[in-house]
Amino acid sequence: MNIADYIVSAAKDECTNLLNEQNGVLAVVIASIDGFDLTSAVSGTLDASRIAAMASSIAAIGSVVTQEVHIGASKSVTVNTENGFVYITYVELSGVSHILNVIADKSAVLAQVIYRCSEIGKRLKSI
Amino acid sequence: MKEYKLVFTGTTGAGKTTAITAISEAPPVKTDVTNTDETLNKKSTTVGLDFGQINLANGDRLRLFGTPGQTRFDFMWKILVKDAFGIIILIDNSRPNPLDDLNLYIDGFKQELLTIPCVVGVGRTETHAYPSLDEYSNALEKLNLILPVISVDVRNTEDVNMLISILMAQTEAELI
Amino acid sequence: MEDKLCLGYLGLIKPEIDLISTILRTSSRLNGEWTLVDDGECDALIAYNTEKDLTPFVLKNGANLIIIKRRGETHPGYVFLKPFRADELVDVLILIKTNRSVSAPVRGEPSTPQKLYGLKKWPPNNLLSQNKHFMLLAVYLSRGTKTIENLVTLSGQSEKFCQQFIHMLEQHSLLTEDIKQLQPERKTTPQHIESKKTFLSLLKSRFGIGKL
Repeated sequence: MNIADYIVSAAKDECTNLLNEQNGVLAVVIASIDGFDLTSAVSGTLDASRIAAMASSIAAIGSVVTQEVHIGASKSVTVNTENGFVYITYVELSGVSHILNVIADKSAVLAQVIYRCSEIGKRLKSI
Repeated sequence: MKEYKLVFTGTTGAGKTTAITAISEAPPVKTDVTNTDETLNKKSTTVGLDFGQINLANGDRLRLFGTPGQTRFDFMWKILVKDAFGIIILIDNSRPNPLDDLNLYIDGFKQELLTIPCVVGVGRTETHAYPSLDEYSNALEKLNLILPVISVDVRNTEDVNMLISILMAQTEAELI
Repeated sequence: MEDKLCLGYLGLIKPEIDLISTILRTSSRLNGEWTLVDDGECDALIAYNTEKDLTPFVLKNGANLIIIKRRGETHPGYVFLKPFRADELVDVLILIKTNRSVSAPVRGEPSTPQKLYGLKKWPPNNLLSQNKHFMLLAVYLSRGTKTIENLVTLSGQSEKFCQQFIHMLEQHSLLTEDIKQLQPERKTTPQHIESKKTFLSLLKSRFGIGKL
């Protein structure tokens, strides 16, 4: 399904704002469930399309695990690393579920990123 | 208890998930999601992996992994093929350029194909006769590869068994 | 007609004996090749423990014990797990029979250098379809050069048949030839080879397939 340009534009703004305003965030990518990047804001040489594909794989494997053990649908996956974290959650655009992926270094605070992603999700859902 | 691994790869829609489902002892774990790629005539597509399992008589296990087909998931190919005893490449002969598709997987598994046995299964040849199997082997020859190439319909368990038989024969050949 | 293989039993209760007897009689995969015996020589023995005294049975040369265990318990050799599944016993008996039939005699090195044959490319379908065993020989050659002797050992076909295949490949310019080195490098340890052979036997019995 094609997402309307104005929604993509709003999503792009959200990505850019999060990248610029949140300490330590290195990349923000919104992707389709099957791993195509819809829009993004990245720093340095990070490849948004690659991140989109990887995020969709991680999200899908997370979903399978939670289904297997019957503890409900997966809401997010966090990968904690030596120098930061990757946070993957779901957002809805035009009623269609998408993946919101944030990559951050260790100066970022996970709880703040989670909160901001939740707020992004609410705003994008309401458009 | 030892664990062995068999990897199914190939184009989206070629039948990787179907092949695993045909032989896995339990319903396989799948990471299928809604497909948004309009070039593919499929409702869903694998984005992580398919996973099935077969228990052997002495308690050892054979794990069956299906890779996502699209090249944007080639990082999963590398993860899944590690320590595999064999690779099955499934190609859909009804696609516009099956030989180009074959090239993608040969390239994607270039390092692994130096040592791991591999067989190519070509599907939908009964409705799409070209390219012929001989053209596949010519294409592989140009890549300095000699891989068995057979027609398959992975909805038939016998055809999936045939692919595995060929991998087994290749493994046997290396033990002599 | 080949003699039936004999399966003995120790320490089983009557319902278990009746179950195993029924499996041996009715399994299409076993094809009547095994029979349950009450005493005497046997090709395999099913028991709860690895008894030292197997009276009234005598294990034949190369015979195997099949130990009954609970699911979740492990045992290094052949097992039959409780609760019983008929197909698992069938798998084990096929595996035992397969391993017993793999007994290629050790041959001395031939006095004349042997030729090593290889494929230039995977042969065309019209050639492979001429005989149902040609594909198997092509598969063996696809994994590196082989002598005629190698092909005979691997395929179980006659030397004449393998030579006929090689000749056909030669006629269609699909063949490479070399002289065998006297002491080829071993790429794998004997242990690794045994482990792989066991794995292949297990796979064959699991899928119910022999040669191509």
